[in-house]
Amino acid sequence: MSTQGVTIDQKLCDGCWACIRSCPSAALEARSAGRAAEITWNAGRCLFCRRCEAVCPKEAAGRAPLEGGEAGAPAEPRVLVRLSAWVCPQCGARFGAGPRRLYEGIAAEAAEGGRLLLCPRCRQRETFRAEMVGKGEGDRC
Amino acid sequence: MSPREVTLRFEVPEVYRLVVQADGDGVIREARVVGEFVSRQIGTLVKTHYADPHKAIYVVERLCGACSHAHTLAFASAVEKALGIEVPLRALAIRTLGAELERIQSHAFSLSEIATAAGCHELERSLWGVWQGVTAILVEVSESRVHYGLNGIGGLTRDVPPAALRKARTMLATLQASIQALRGEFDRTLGERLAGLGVWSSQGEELPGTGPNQRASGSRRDVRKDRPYLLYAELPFDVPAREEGDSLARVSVRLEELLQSCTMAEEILKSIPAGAIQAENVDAAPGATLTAAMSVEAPRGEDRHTVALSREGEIRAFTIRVPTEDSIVGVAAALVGVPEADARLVVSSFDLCMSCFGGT
Amino acid sequence: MNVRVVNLGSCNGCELELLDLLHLEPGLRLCDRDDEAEVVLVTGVLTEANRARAERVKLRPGVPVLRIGSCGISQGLFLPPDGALDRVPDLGRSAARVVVGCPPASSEIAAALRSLCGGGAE
Repeated sequence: MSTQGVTIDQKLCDGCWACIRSCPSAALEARSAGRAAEITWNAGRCLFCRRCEAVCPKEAAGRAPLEGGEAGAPAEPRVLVRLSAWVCPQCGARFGAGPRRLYEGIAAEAAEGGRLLLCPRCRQRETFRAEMVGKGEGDRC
Repeated sequence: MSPREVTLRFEVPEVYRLVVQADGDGVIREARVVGEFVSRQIGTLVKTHYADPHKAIYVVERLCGACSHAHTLAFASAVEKALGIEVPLRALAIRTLGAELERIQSHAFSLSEIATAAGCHELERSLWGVWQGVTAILVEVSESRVHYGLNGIGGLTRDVPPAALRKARTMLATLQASIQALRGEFDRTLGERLAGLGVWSSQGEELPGTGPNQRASGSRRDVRKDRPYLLYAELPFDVPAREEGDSLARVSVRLEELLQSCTMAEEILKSIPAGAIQAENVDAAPGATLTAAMSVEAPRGEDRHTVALSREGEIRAFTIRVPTEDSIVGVAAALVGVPEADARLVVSSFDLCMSCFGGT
Repeated sequence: MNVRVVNLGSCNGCELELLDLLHLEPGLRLCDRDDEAEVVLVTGVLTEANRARAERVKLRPGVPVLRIGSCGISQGLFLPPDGALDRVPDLGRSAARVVVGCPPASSEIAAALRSLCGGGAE
């Protein structure tokens, strides 16, 4: 039996951060890297309790043998997942962070249509416009 | 005569020290164990930084490397009691299995320390073989060697696959045979030297606490029998006890318990019920008391955790009482009249644990 | 090989694995003296009671240090994210190599010792 390190499958991770919130020793942490967000894992803080695996709703968290650098070398946090920023389809501003898949899923399902995908500024403007238009129509009836 | 400090320790250092006063012939007149060195104020840390019991249990586990399962069990059970959570039967069975395997692991370590203190290296190696054997079984059951991480609030953190349980049963049979063989060896090599050495006398009164040390001095108390929890009410077992109160009695009780725990573990492995490993709801049940205490019989004796929770399930108060609080009294009493040269042997026969002692 | 173990305040978990290590590697010998140590192993969080002792440890220059387990490496659980209990001792921390785990298995400590001391663990 050898100690297994924590992995997170980038393709499955939704960036919900359940693993980070439930990590008892703060071995998993979120940090911003420019306009993206990253989940880092510090082997030197890890209890190897596998709580992250248990709580992950996407079964993205798993285990893999430790890499050479972790057994022996000074422990540095390692980036497990990089969640790139979303791009506002209207103005091109970067905001939030999450996987492309999640972004498209919301676009397909949200009742409010594409408005949820806009950056906060554009969303505010669009919401205002929609409500004013809605009211105007109501008045005419 | 001025007090003299004897360095006493695990083979691996800096856990506790013994301060003794001896007369001209090197016979101890007064003794005191000093052992706050590894106290990490875990009770306080839990209150200030780990109010969520689901996280706190990992800190509680690290009260002690030798009896972490007992600590998480007492803690989880106290929280479950306070919140009115019903733990499923399969989880209770696997928790009991973990507790008895831990007792084997802890006693094997403790007995090997006694053999080391007596300078019997061959015996020590055989006993360490038992430690390695039970550790291999624990790896099957929990995938861990020292902090098993099995107990979670409401049940287990993960299930144990049937194949692992089958393998554990086979390995246990082999281990049991090797422990049987060791029992005679211990008596042959150390019996004479330990007999009559370092007597902790009850002097007709009930000794404080429970544990192998007390049961070697005439006590019959064992939390598993007196206030049964887990499956102990249904599980058949005896409580080995002696009257002499000397180092040999303490060793004998632990050797008997080693075998007893093997039989119990085997019994549990025969019939672990299928089903859920985790209670469905781990929030406070209506009418929950929110305050509860739970005692378990850890390898060294009664380990009692008391918790008070808020309605949101956050820890408001938390105290721990560990078996070494009683044994440390026994050591001081038993060392009086013992030759200084045997001090380490007597202390090791008490199997003190300093990492949970003063841990709150 | 002479091994000096500095237990700053451990739960005994790492110590149990170190005891097992001594059985796996009969060539290792525990020593109490700083000047005899050929390699230093550090375990545990620094407790208040051990602070003075930790300060008395004088490592010979060039003696490799191996920090063992989450506590020995980073204080693990005992250094909550808000840093309120920050009390990490130095003890050659900057240069130290580590064996991760809580606790790491004896075989992993043995492997790290071997790679640290160039096969000298035998």
